[in-house]
Amino acid sequence: MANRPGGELATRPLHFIWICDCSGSMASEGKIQALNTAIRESLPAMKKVAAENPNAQVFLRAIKFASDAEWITSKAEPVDQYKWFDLVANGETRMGKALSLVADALKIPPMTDRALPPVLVLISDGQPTDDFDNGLKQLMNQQWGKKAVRIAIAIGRDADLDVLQKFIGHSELKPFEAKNAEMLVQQIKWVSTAVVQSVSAPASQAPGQVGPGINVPIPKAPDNIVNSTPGSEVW
Amino acid sequence: MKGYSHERLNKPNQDRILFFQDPDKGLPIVLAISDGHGGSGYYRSERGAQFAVESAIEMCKQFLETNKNLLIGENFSQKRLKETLCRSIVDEWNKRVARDIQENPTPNEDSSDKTDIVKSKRPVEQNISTPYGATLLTAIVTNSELIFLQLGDGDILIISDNGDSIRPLPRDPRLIGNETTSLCTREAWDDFVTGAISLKSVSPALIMASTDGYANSYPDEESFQKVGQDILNLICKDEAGVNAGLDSVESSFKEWLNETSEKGSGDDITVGIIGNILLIKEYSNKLPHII
Repeated sequence: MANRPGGELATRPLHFIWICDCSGSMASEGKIQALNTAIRESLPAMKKVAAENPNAQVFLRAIKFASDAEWITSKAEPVDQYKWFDLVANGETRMGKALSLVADALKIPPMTDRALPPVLVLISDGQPTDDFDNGLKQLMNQQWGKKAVRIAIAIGRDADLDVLQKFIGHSELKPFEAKNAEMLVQQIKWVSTAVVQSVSAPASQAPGQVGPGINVPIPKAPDNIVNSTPGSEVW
Repeated sequence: MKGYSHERLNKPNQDRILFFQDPDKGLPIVLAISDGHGGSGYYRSERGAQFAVESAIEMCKQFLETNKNLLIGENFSQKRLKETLCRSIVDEWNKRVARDIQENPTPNEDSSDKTDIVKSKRPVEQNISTPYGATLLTAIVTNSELIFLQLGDGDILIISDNGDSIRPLPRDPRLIGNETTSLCTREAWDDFVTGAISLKSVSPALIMASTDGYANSYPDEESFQKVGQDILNLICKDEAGVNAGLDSVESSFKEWLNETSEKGSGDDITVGIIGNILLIKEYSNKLPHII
C-alpha cells in the first residue's frame, strides 16, 4: 500500500545455529557421517515448518569445533537457501571457543532486539579440551545468549553430559543421548521441526512462568527419540 | 486489530484500548493500551487487558483530580509515582480480577496443562491473577505536562511539531524475546517505567502508543519511528486540509495494520494516537505546499 506509514516491513528473524563437534573421536564408528546425513536429511522438514510460519524468517548457520572453532558459512542464510557442507573429523574439542563465537554473533548489533529467541543446538561426543566455562560465560553475558533456546545432543557414551547440561541451563531439559545413527537422525529432525515450530510463534509471557532457564515453551520430545531400543546401542 | 497469525490460528485478539478526555475542558486526556499475554496459561488475558485499561483510566483520573494543583514531574520522583499511581492501578486491576474469578469460577478453562511442554519441577511463580496476565501502556496529557507509564512491552512515541520522533521512556532491557513484565507478577507496580515531561520542553503534535506487534513488524528502530513522522505528514499533506487528513488517516488505519501484521510480526496490533490539532496545523503551515 503506497501510503502506509513507516519503513519497510519485515518478519521477525529466527536464528538457528548448529554447534558441531568435529574432534578426532567423531571419525570413529561413523559418527561424523551420521551427523552429516542427519542434518542434511532434516533440512526439507525444517524448510516446510519455516514455510508454515510466514511471520518468522528462519536463518541457519553452523560452527564446527575441533582444534579450533570456526563458522562453516560466513553469514546466516535463509533456511530455504541453506546447503549443508559435509564436516570432517580431526583434532581436539574446543567447545569453549565455539561458544565464544556464538556469543559474538548474538551481540546486539549485529542481532536485532526484535528477533525471535535464537535456537542453539550443541552436538558433541566428548569432553571440552579448552575453557568451556569461559565460553559459556561469554555466551550467557549476551542478552540473546540468555534468552536462547539451548538444546544439546550427546553422541555416544563418552560425551560429557554434565557439560552439555550446563549449556542447556535447565534441569528439566536433558541432553538427548544418541546411541546410534537412527536416534541421531530422529533427534536432529525433532529439533529442526518441533523446536523451530515452537519458537517461530512464541506467545508472550511473564518472566519465570515456564520455569527458570526456559523462556519459550519447548514441547516434550516423544519417548521413541529419547530412549533407545534394547540392543540398538552402537555408540 | 487482530493479528495475521492470530487470524490464521483462530486465536482471539488479546489487545485492548480505552481513552478518557475531559468533556468540558478537553484536558486531561488519558490513553491506555494493554496486550494480554498469549501463552497457554493466560487463558483470561483478554479480560486481563480489558481490566488493565479500565483500571488505568479510573485510577489516573482519580490521581489527577487529587493532585490537580501539582506538577507531577516536579513533585513525584519515579519511585513515588510507582508507589502511588502505579500501585493504585495494579491494586485496582487485582480487585477486578478477583471479582471476575468470583463471578466466573470456571477452572476448566485452564489450558496450561493441555500442552505437553517441558515444565520446571521447581516452584514457578503463580498466583490467582496469572491467567489474566497483561501489559499496560498509559499516556496522560494535562495542560502543563505529559505523563507516561509503561509495564511490559509496547512502544510510546512523541512526534513533535517539527516532525521529530522521540521515545519519552527508556527501553526496558528486560523486554527482549517473548518475556515481558506484567500486571500478574508480584510487586508489578515496581516494574513500571515512568516519566513526566513538561510541555515547556516538548511540543507534541502527536503521541502514539502501540502494542509490541507494531514495532516488531519493522526491521529496526528507524523504520518504526518513521511511522509517527509519516502519519503527521499524511495528516498535513491532505489537500482538503488537516481535518480531512485526520479522517483519511483514521479510515486507512485498519488496512495499514492488516498489511503490517501480515508482512511483519503476525501479532495483534493496537495503536492509540493523541493529536494536538493546533500544533498539527502549525506544522502543516510550515510544510511546502504545491499550488
